[in-house]
Amino acid sequence: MYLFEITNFFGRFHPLLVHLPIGFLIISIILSAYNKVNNFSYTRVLRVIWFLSFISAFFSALMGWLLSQNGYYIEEQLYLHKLTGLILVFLSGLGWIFQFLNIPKFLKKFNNALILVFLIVVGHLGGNLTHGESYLFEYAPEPIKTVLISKIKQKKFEELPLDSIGVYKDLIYPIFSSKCIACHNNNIARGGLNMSSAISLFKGGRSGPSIVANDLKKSLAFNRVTRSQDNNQFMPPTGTPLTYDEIKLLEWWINQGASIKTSLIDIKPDSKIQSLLFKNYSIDLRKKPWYEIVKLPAIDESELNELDKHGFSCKKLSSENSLLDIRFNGSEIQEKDLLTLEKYAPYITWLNLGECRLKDSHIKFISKMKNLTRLSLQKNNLKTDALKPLLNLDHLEILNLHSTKVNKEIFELIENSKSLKKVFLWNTLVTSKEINNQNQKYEGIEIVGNSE
Amino acid sequence: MNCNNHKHNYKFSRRDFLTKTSLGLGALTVGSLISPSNLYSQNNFVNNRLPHFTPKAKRVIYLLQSGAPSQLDLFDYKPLLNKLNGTELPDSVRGGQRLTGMSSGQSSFPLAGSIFKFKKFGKSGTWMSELMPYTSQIVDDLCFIKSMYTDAINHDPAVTFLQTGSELPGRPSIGSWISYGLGSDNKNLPEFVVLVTKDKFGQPLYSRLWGNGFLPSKHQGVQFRSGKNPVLYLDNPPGVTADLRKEQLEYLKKLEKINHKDVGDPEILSRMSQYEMAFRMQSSVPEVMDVSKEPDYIYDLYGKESRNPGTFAANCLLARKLIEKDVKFVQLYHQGWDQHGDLPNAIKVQCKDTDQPTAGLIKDLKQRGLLEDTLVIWGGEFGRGSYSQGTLTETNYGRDHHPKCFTIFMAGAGIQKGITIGSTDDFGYNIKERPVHVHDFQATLMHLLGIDHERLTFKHQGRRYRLTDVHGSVVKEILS
Ligand code: HEC
Repeated sequence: MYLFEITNFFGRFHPLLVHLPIGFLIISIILSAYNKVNNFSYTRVLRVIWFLSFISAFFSALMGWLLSQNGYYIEEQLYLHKLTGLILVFLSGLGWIFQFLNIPKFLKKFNNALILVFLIVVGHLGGNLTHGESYLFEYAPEPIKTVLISKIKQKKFEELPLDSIGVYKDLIYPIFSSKCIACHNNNIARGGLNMSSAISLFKGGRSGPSIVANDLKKSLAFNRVTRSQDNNQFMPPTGTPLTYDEIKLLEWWINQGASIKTSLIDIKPDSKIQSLLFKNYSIDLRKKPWYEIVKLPAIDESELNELDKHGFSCKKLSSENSLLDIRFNGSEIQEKDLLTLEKYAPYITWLNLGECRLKDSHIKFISKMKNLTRLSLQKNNLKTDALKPLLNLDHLEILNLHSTKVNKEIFELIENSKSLKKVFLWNTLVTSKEINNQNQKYEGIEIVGNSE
Repeated sequence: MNCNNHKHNYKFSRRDFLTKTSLGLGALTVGSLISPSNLYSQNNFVNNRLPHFTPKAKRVIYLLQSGAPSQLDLFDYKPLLNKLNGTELPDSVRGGQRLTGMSSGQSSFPLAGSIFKFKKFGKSGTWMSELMPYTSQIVDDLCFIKSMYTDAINHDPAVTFLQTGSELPGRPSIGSWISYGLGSDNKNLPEFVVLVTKDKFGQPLYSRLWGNGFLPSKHQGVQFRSGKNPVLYLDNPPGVTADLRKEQLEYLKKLEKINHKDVGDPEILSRMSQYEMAFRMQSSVPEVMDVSKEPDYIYDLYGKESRNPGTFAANCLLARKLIEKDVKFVQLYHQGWDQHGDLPNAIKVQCKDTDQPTAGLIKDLKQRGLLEDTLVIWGGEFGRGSYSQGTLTETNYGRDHHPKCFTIFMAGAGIQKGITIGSTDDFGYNIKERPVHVHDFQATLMHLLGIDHERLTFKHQGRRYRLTDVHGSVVKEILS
């Protein structure tokens, strides 16, 4: 595999190097032909070479200009290539003229140095135009690649705040620019459509606007990319079609009102789009759970052995998260156990006290664990009233009360809680009918009762 | 065990000692290496660096369908096969794919559409065949991957690959890796429990599929059987009381501590902890295996076979009980899916055995809130092909092994609900979209448990091994 990458890396320099022998060989042949006639001096040889360089640069620029008229190239890249190309032609003309003039040597040297720089720049830009930006270094060994490509490649979204990721600017436009703009730009606007700016994109082409907010059918740009590939209206007619995910993204953007200013913070993508963004751009939109947000100094693990003695098993959430996941393993919990637990109250975020004869009076200990996010109290003889202190917990999201003695008054507690997302009430005094009614009432809280 | 003086069995070898002490910094760590408090600590944190990040799932139930269920008759709806029923599988579709010795001699490869009816279910509109009426009801809780593929084309290498990440026997099973990496949440039960459906025939299952490979032996899967002796050789012999056994173990422990000080073989500690675990299991196992207190409606949920110990349904019920007790990894095996011939009839029997219990288990976990942190996986070791093995008739056909695509489903902790990822071509032969390799699946499984599959390694015979070898990437889009 590695061998393959290395050979490929060097292989990709072929189009770059192949121009050298072409030039050198032609020059050698011309010069040897002249040499027979007349024994040239070194200066004259140089003049001939400079002349040939200038003339060939001039004509290749001319041909390049003609080629650019077909509109297959991306406008921005083309512009730089054109500009630097023209400068190079000019400089090589100068170089030729300098051969006949008596000017200070350093000027000549300076000109030569400039030519070298421009040669590399123009050549590279041209190569990028025909082969794509990452062509040359795609197979470069990792260190070279990180230096060269990371700058060229798309933005690293994971480090950006969400409000600075523009839906059009950073997600939609790059799709158009890589797959459409070659044929729909300022110079060549096939079908009258220029996609290089948002204004002209909305204006559309011959057949009307290509993007119509909230209307996929009327949005020609969407319509054309979703036809069957055999259809002669299918876009792009040549080259790589849009991927499934790109089409979904475009669809979503149009349905969301096709605004060119909104950032990801303004419109909340649904779960499908969220996972698409996560997969393709590493943009993670899901809200971080509370236990990932609070940061507490690590506890000394040997201290936790104390909990072990009281029948708790206890784990840090992860090596990087010092919050605790605790479960009571005994069959009957005592006040002294809970008093020990209380010492670690702010650290406890997941707590399982299921099936341990927890008493109503014990709840007050739990209500001090302000970072609690999941609480399991199933299979205890708990009554609804006793659970009131739990309202102190501002971050409690999941509350498991199955097989307890709670009744429908629990809904009051659920309504008053600001944080609850899921409550388990299977096998309690709450009937499945009551749960169904309630589930319709509030959004964002799921109440799980009998499986039917 | 003490005579088994292989280098890798030592906590530290002479060579380790020399390199560690001579390396300056190493001299510091050696202090902790030989500190006795560390050696005997019953600490829950097997490894301080684990889990690498906060887990979404704390436990796993893996319902392994051995023999490879036909995705074409269960999940992956391909109407084109019905349209082209009986016509030849085009070479362009097969693309030179190797076949098993069982059908490579066939002169013709007639496409075989499924004779079972498909319908869309749930809000998610998931296609399911009529073979799984119960599972069809819970599709909105499931996540289907229709584009799984594997390397092996025969059962043994394929199931070994699925379980251990290598086609060659001898590597640790997924459950062993998890036990090694994350340790135990319940000291009275093993971390990794195996339940095999009784009286089934088909592709053989060997205990090495749940073996610990080169990991310390306490990480192997422990098989619980139906009947009087759930764990073989666990009970005290007649005449030996529990107190007597306890006393005996106390003395043994003292002796072994001395022994360990002398030879330093970590396997001594492993053994001692297993003895003690076995002692605790003498009371904890009968307790979890006792299903007599389950109410009738629970039996009804899992189906009536759940009253018959050792069936898949009864094992599903047991799996829930084990999960309630915080066993980390429960692995079920159900044989009999290898339908080379007479598929339509045989698959009906298989589905009758597994459909209701699987759906029942997921519903039961859900209502108890256990699905929040338990991951359930259903699937086989590969798929089945779209042409008929043997003669194709109106009502009968067979299907040969097919490693290039198959379907599995998951539910629970950290997984999005009601989604399907990946798809196959209209012939159900090649993957069209989002291929998921077995190593990707394993990487995802570990990710859900808070483990970076590239960082959980074990050094053995001079090199570091991991479950996913040098492959695998997490299937991000199914994560919730
Ligand atoms: C290789 C050149 C090429 C590429 C690349 C290309 N197009 Fe076109 N496009 C054309 C040509 C030529 C026409 C005019 C003929 C026609 O209407 O089919 C056209 C027409 C259109 C029209 C109709 C304009 C009108 O008002 O009639 C739309 C919309 C369009 N393209 C969208 C796209 C989109 C979106 C992409 C990128 C996915 C794209 N095109 C890429 C060549 C191209």
